[in-house]
Amino acid sequence: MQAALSADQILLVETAARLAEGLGCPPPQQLPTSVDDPGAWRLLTETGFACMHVAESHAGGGAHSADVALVVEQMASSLSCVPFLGQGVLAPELAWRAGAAPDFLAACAGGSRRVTVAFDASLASLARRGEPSVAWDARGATHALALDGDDRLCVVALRPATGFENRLRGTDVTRWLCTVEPDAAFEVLTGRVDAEVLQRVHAFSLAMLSGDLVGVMQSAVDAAVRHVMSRVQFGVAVGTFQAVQHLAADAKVLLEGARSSMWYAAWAADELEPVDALLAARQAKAYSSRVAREVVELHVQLLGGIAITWEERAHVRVRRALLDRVTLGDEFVHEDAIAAQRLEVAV
Amino acid sequence: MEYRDDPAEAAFRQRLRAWIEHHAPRELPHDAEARIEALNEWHQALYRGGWVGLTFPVEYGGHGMSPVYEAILNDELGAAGAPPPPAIGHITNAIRLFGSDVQKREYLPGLLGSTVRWCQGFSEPDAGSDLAGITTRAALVENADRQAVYRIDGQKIWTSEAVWAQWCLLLAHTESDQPAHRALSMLLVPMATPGVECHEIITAYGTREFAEVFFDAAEVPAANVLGAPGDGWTIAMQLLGYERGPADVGWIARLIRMLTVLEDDVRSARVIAGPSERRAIAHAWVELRTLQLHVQRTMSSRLDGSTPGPEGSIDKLLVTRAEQLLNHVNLQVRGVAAILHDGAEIEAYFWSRAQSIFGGTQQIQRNIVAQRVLGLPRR
Repeated sequence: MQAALSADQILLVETAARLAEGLGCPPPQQLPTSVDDPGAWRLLTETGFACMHVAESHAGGGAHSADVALVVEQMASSLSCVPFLGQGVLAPELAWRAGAAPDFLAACAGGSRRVTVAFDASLASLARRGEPSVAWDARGATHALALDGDDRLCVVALRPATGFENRLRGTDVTRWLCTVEPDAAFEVLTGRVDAEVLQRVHAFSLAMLSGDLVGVMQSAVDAAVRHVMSRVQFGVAVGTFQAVQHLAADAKVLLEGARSSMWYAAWAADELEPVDALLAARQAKAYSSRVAREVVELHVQLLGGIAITWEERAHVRVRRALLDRVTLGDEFVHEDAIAAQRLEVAV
Repeated sequence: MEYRDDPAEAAFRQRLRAWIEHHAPRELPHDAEARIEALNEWHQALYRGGWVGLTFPVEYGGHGMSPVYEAILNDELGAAGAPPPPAIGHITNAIRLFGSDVQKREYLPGLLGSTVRWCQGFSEPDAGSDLAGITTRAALVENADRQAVYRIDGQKIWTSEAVWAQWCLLLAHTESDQPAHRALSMLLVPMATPGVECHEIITAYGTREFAEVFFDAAEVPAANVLGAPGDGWTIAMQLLGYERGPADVGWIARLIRMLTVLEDDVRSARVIAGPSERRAIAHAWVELRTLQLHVQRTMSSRLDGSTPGPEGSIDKLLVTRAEQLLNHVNLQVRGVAAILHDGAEIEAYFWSRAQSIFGGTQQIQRNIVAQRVLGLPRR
């Protein structure tokens, strides 16, 4: 048992952190309004971070799920607006696991196809083609993935990208969402996708969302600590006051708990049987969903009045945490599922 | 990153599991004396089985294994519903790190084998969280036989299991000319020493585990100092690091056991749980699992022989959070029955409230995380 980062993983985190810094969230007054940032996307494809989990036989990087989560965390901690999680991680995973052709994935990995995932209107599960659904992390995407009534994977066209008139004004300003029209053009990519395959994709996706939440929390704790060290009241840095220190300590404790769960879930996504991987992922997603809101709220409190302004990034963290926590289910959804599994009477 | 057991860990786990099945008592008696006796037998059995002092160096009677084995031990004992292992990590490590060769030879075997019981005399009525403020004095004097002795006067409180202990690791003020942090020494005091008197404290939940210990001109040989005179504060701080780690004190095993029992009761319909209770049980599992995974991480990061750093306070805060939530859920699910019968559930509940008080209060732990982990200013 080695619940620790390897030397290679530490190196990966450093590389990803440098990349993420360059792709980080601009000051909120300069949040992106254009439908795409092709340069940023090219950087992700050229560095091999996009599609890094997909098998090398399908033009991916063949990386371990745990490594992907570490990169997701770094991208989130810079509050990057680049749609890495949707288009570089979740969509390629689904397409690859479901059995999409290698050339489809090669186009995704090469940057010539921009495909993201679509969820149902409550963001609880993968979208069903023809039903109201939401393309997630859709900035720059031309297509989204959904299942049809026979559990075949389809790629559905999003409206022409100009202007994104079907963009939802969602809470998270770093992650674009848009509605998928029920009558949108589509193409069937695969035959019927096995339930076990979907379970594995589900586990992986929950682990990655947990990684994103950990990144947002890390960013919140860092920002809060920086602020209370520099903000002076009564002649001293407010971080000197115990009442302030205790809020920061609570945030740190919850962050580290979430990280410990997320590491295991991210490792389990590749290493355990789908049913066990899913239990681990639900655990991590339940914990990180619950504590992420607590942590970003603590950081708002620690930043004080400035956190309630548009120009400070605090609201960006809160927004991203709120979207992440409901995507594919919040803590209550997963705890009900965990109870169903663990309290089931053996027959 | 590898969460699976390596072959050696897997073999260890398998052997351990088989051993627990044959040796672990299912229930401990409720009566305090009988309970202590049964726990002691259990700890001696664990020692004979080779499960005590796993990370402790071989030359001092341990097994010299990696810290992850402590996590495995805790997980397996908990999963089997067995009582926790002995909470001796802090005292054994204090003696290992600071004791003379003679002291190590003299005291470690009895500690590891649970044949000699120790208590830890730190807190005082006026020095709880503020350990530097202790007033128990040990003056270096010559006794009637012209031997150098420490003559001890003062009072300790919250001394766990003092009534049953043969020895006390005592923090006392010895260097009156030194500033507070250099003025304390750690003394090894036989509880049978004339002038040492023990008064039991009955806990809020009716059990007897704490005591007040009074020292009235109690004399111990000058050689009974651990480390050098004036090292007391340094030793105490290192030792608290061990006391805070949930795996060091076998805490996780106890919590997993409690949740396992609750889940069994629900599965077998001895306790009826509706949807909100079932969700609450899952919530408790989520918290406990996070604690377990976090402790695995802590153990993986702790190199052999290195002492726990301030990050241990994160573990302590996580164990507190998990334990207090678990007890709320336990009472919620068991409902009025737990209130109509003043039994084990209420005892566990009161224990969970103590978790944020002993071993450094919740507030002290937060200070440590804020100042020594996050680097916020110290006043």
